[in-house]
Amino acid sequence: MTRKFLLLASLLIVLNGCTRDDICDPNTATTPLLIIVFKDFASPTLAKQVPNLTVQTSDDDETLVINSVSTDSIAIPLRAGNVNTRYLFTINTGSETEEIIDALTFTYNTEDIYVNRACAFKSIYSNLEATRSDEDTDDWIIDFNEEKTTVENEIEAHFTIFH
Amino acid sequence: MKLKHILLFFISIIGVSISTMAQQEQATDTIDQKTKYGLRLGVDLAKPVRTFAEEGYTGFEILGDFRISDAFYIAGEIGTEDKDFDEENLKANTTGSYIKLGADYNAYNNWFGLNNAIFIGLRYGFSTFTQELESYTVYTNNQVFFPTEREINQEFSGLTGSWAELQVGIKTEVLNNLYLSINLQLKRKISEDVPNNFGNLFIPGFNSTNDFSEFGAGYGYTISYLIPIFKK
Repeated sequence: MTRKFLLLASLLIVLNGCTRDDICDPNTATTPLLIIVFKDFASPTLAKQVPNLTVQTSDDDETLVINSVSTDSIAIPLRAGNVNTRYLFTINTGSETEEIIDALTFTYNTEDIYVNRACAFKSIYSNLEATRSDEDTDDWIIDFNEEKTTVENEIEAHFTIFH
Repeated sequence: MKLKHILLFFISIIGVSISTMAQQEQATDTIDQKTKYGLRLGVDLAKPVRTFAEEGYTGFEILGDFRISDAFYIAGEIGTEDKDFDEENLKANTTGSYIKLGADYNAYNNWFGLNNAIFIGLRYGFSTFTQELESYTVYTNNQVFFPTEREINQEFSGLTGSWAELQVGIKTEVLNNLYLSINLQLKRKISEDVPNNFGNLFIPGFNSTNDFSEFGAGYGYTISYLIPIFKK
């Protein structure tokens, strides 16, 4: 009896020490990324790949988020600690065709939502708006549109760029 | 003789309890066939020990039971707990007090003159507490930007929680009227006030909550003294 009891006691203590509460499950919906799709300006319903697209932050680090990938959709983070995030979008990175850099600034409001004890809080974004933020006239982005003004999940595209 | 007592004491401390040796030596010449009834009062030793050993925890609990029949006791606990939640991305504190009321059933058939117990207890627990959200780091799966930390220091006071609790434990009379006891507690949450846009990480008396179930667990290591009132 006493032995069984002790076994139960130690088992409980061990089980209590490590639960799945401790690690944030990667499948949990936390702070969403901004999903951008690229479409053809001539026929705005059709997806159109961007050849060798590079996306980097415009801060001093110039962190590469997308590195020379040909794609028609990307997911990039927004800065939760700030009300705007500026990105540089480069087309034809390293190819023979001319490289063109366009910059967009996304402005938004953030709101933090409690998820659970392991993941703590996530940020969601509202009043999303984008503005062109480079001076040059050499543009590959012809137009863009905020499909959604709130970014709270990663189910659908939030933003479209026409080129 | 004295050594046996000392040994018995230490063996109890480790948690191994009911010793047949002790039974033999105490079950000697008694003419009185009656057993003691009375109020048993004590403290949970595990909480001060944890207070001393664990950073960010303070707790204290007093407990008592009253024997109402051969095997049944009315029992309860009153306590306070203060616990920090200190993880990389979330810092919070819970402080509050609780009361647990219920009964114990002694399933152990004592030799005459002995007052040991293997008991099963049921409790209804109720807690009032305050939770403070101190700070957090916004969780993201990418490292493009520096983590966003936010200082909040917001207090959610007047929260309550309740639960049902099953206790299983053993009690040994180590000296005349002095008892050592160890118990395990399995709890199931009945109700809780969830703070707006936050959660209860800890409920005093209930212990840590779990995001994925209503169950909690705890333990007690108590010392108590029986104030005999009558014999029956």
